[in-house]
Amino acid sequence: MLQQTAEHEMITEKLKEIVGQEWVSDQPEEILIYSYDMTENPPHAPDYVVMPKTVEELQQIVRLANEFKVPIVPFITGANVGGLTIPLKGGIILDLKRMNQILRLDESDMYVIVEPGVTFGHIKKFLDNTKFRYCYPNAPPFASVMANALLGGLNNLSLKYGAMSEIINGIEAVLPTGELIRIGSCACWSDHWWGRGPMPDLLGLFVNWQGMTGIVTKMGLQVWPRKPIQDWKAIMSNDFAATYRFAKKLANCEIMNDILLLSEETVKMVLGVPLGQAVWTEGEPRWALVLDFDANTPKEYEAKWEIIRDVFKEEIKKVDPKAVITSVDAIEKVYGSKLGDFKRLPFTIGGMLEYGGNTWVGTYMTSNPEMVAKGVEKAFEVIEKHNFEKCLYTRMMKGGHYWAFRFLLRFSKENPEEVERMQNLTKELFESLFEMGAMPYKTPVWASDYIIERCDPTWVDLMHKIKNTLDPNGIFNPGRWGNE
Amino acid sequence: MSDALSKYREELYSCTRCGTCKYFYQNYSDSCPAGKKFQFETFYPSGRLHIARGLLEGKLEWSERIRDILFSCPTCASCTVNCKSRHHNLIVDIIEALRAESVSQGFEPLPNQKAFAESIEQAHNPYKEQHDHRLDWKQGIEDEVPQKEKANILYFVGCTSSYRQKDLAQATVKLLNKLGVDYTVSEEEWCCGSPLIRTGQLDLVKDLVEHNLELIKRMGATTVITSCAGCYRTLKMDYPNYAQKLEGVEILHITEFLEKKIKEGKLKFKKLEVKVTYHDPCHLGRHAGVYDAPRAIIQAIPGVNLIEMARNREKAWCCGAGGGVKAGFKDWAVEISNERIEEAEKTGCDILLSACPFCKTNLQDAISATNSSIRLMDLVNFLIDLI
Repeated sequence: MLQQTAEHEMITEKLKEIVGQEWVSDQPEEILIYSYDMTENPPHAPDYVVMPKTVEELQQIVRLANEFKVPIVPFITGANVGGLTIPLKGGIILDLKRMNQILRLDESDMYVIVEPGVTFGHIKKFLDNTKFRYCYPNAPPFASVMANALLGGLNNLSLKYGAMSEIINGIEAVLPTGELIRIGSCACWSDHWWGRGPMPDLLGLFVNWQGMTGIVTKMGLQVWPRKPIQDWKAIMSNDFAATYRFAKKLANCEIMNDILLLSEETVKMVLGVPLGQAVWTEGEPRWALVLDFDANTPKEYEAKWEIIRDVFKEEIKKVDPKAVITSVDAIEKVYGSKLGDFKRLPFTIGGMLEYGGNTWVGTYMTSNPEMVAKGVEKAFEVIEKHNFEKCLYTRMMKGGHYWAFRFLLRFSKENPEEVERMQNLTKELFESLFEMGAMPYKTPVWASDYIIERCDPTWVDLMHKIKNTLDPNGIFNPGRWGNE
Repeated sequence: MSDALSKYREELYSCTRCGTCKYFYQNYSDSCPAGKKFQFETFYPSGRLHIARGLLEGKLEWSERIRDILFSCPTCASCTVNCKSRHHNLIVDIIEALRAESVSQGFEPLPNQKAFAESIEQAHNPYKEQHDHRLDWKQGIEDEVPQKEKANILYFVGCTSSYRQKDLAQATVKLLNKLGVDYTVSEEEWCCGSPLIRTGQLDLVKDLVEHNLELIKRMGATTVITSCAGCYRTLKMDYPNYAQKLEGVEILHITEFLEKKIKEGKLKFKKLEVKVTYHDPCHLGRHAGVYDAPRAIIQAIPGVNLIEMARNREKAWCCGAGGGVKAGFKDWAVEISNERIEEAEKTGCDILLSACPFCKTNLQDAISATNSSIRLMDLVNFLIDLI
């Protein structure tokens, strides 16, 4: 962290000249609040918090940061659950909330162009007045659309389209040296954001780089027509192997939007069961599935519903006679609206976010049933050892090509010992899963350090070469993925 | 850190800063006026709670800036309905406790907010008016205003209607008279204390509470009616924190009282073909949960077409006057109100109705600032010619 030196004062003044006095702070309140997030990751203070409104302002800030070699960390809502906006080396937190315009919807090519500050709530409200829809994670509505896409988050259409990064059509970004670049069709025609190819696809220089290579100022994202019929079904079962086989087989049928597999503990957390009490007890269903599908006509709907029931009978009911399949509407009537909120994305899982601390070990991994079963068994063993709740939250991805294997871990931040216990759990859990081929997304710095020590050194070397080429002064989110 | 704030320790640690308080839930439009304006995380409800945590942990020290952040909140309570965490109901209480702590730490409210405390101390009202002019509003209708020593019902006029929105006091009296209600007003009424409680200036509050409760007792009133949403919230929800509950005394907003009369078949309205919209005062709606009564009254008027604004009831956008913001941040208070006027205009209504003289003051300022042609009326004033 920079001391209150003459240089600090000068940089503060220059930042104020760029964005206006009211949009720069180096005051203790902002320095503290932007130094940590809801996770167990240790805090680190920024030196300045700056809120630009325009791309030009942003470029000027980047040039200034280069001149004085001040780190820059982009921030939108800080809800990434990976500690990714904690400024590991201090410097400027670039809060991009003011850049919050949905610039255009292209109805023909079906995409929207958004600025960084656009949230899921924002895009939902916007698209509800059109015939299109977007995809949503189970994140609070005030999470950033662009950040989730850049970090490869999962969502309620991931079964169809994969991680959110896979639906990016193109970007405009400010490089660490201040140049403004475009990637995708928009690089050739400024008004055409219909796709990324066919041309060398440079999007990979920015996706999952956690702001180390550029600050994206515009993004084209695919949207899809909203179908007239949409429905949600729920399954309660007791046999994991059968439940997973069902999910995999149904995914392969390519008729579903989403197959969400939850442990009973997760269901209880969603229902608002207090911290520490979301535990499965004998006699309760062990697993829950939420199935999301849609149709253009009643005939198509009936055909899909028939396939779902057939696969259910074949894969689950045969081995687990007590398993039931029903509508989410029926579940909502019995258990209240909280479970029904899965139909009303984006929504906030209140029970997950009321103890000050919330984190995850979120990974993508093989969808091989044996590996998955082993993964669940091992993960539960580790969580039980550390005495936390086994809130499993998983999704079949991209037609069943891979699996999102994730735990939602709530904890109290009031008690430092509990924070330390959570740090120990997330590390052990991650390491166990990594050994089974699970790769964390929105990777916290301690996890990326672990990966770097174990992966192919030529990959690490290439990554560092790219980073050093794009960011010769090492100012963009330094300290992550082994980049100092 | 005072005990007043320490008692919220558990709640301060329950906020993850997930951002849910920033939107009207599943409406996805901005809900926090201060957050929308200043945008740093610190100015949102969650940021304020985390400032409190910083103070509690000794990571922050009290300062004028922290004071300004805390006092920029109009305490509209939209965060209390949007937050999905277990502390949601207490967010405004925590902010008010923080303000009180700020004052006790020597970081006093903004000059205009401090001025109304001085005025209340000297003259029992925040407007620097003389107390013996409190009933000046009855000028021209003296014969219609009952002043009795004993009555079952006390009409608690409030400072804003007594000194600034006198037509509301007059209309309320005329309405009660038309209904044949046995009630009284009192020149001994003092400020309810709302401006002080909202701005953390608590030294005088106990005296005000005791005085007003003594007045109610002495009159033998079993019902207190207010036409001010701020007075209503204070008498109903704050007074029990300062004194023993007044057993057998019911606090009613005029809209609740009138709704009862409609249900009893004692209040009927003439027909009027007009389109209206209704602004929910924060102190009546989100603070006290009174959404239906004013709507029931409006819908009981033959010919009146109530068109709701896009954000209504618990999702209503604040007028911007509350929590000391009108006094402390004059221009910004009107800026908040401008947005509400714009929203009202979009309904295509002829008249914007509300049920709070303080909201009316600020909404009227916004109408003037924006040269809007919309007509603004308190619901009581609207009703007076329809009976």
